[in-house]
Amino acid sequence: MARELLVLALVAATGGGGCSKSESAPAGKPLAGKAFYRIDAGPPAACASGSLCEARVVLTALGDYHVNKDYPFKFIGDPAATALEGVGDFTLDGARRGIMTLKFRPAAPGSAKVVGNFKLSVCSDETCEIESPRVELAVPVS
Amino acid sequence: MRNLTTLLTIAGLAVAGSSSLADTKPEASSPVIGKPAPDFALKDLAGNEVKLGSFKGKVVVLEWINPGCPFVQRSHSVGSLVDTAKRRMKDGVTWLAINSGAPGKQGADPAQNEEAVKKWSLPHPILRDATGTVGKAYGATNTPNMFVIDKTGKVVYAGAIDNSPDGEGKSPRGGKLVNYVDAALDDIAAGREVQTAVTRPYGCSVKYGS
Repeated sequence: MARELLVLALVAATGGGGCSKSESAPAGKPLAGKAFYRIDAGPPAACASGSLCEARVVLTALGDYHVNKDYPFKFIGDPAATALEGVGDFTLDGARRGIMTLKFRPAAPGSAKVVGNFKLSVCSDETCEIESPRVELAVPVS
Repeated sequence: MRNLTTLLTIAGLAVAGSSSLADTKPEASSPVIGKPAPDFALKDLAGNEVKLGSFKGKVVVLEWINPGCPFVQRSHSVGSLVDTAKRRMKDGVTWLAINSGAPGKQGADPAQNEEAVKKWSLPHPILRDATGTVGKAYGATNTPNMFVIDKTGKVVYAGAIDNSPDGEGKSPRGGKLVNYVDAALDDIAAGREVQTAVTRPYGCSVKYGS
């Protein structure tokens, strides 16, 4: 009994690091991506016109790749779309996922168009990739 | 039940420990800083042997290179490695690039290295270290990874080319771009101790064979 429990405990311990290759990628059509990464919209947050709102963009490294934790991740907003405050805050969520939080202040209710280039890097044991895909998402504004 | 609680506690601690370890950035360190530079004899792309010992009394910069690495590509096309070697070689500095990629690995193909020399107008040779012996002796971990050797043959700088880990010089930590090799060479020229002797290199891992 104790032996089985120990095995269970070890499985829990080794599987909890957040970088298992069996970690599933998000379903559905990504906002952008290639064979080694995908970008999805994060869960929408309430956003009222005139207030500081947040939109989240989720980077997931695919296959043998992991997020390059040393890279200065940035989101360069398109000047023709909703003005962003800063270049975003990137936080790692395990070895294969990271969340870019974008801040903006919509002037009117409706839909705020957040558009820009997400400068990112993912690596495998063999290589690193630097990408700058164009990302576009609509945020409902009350 | 008590056994189960104990085991689950151990598992929980292990999980917490593994994620915090993964997030911890190691401090910058180098096995060769302040020590005599490990000697080597390597062949350039034309097959000519280059010995570090033949540059005794000169300031030498070693640059670990991999032309297939996007960080090296950006550093040489828009970042801090554009023209730095050319400028410094005019001041009498010897600049040697070393490729420690094992045959078959990214950026190890001699033709790709020759192309890089032309494309980036490199004024210095690229030396092949296919066994990785020299790279490991210096503790080279990344491309680019820079080392500065002073006139006495001592390693006085080891680390990144600059403080902008995008390779483009556009995201400097602290807001101001610092080319660490330029800074070290300025310190040497002024007769000062190198102020920033070790930094943590960024970029691709060196593609050693084993």
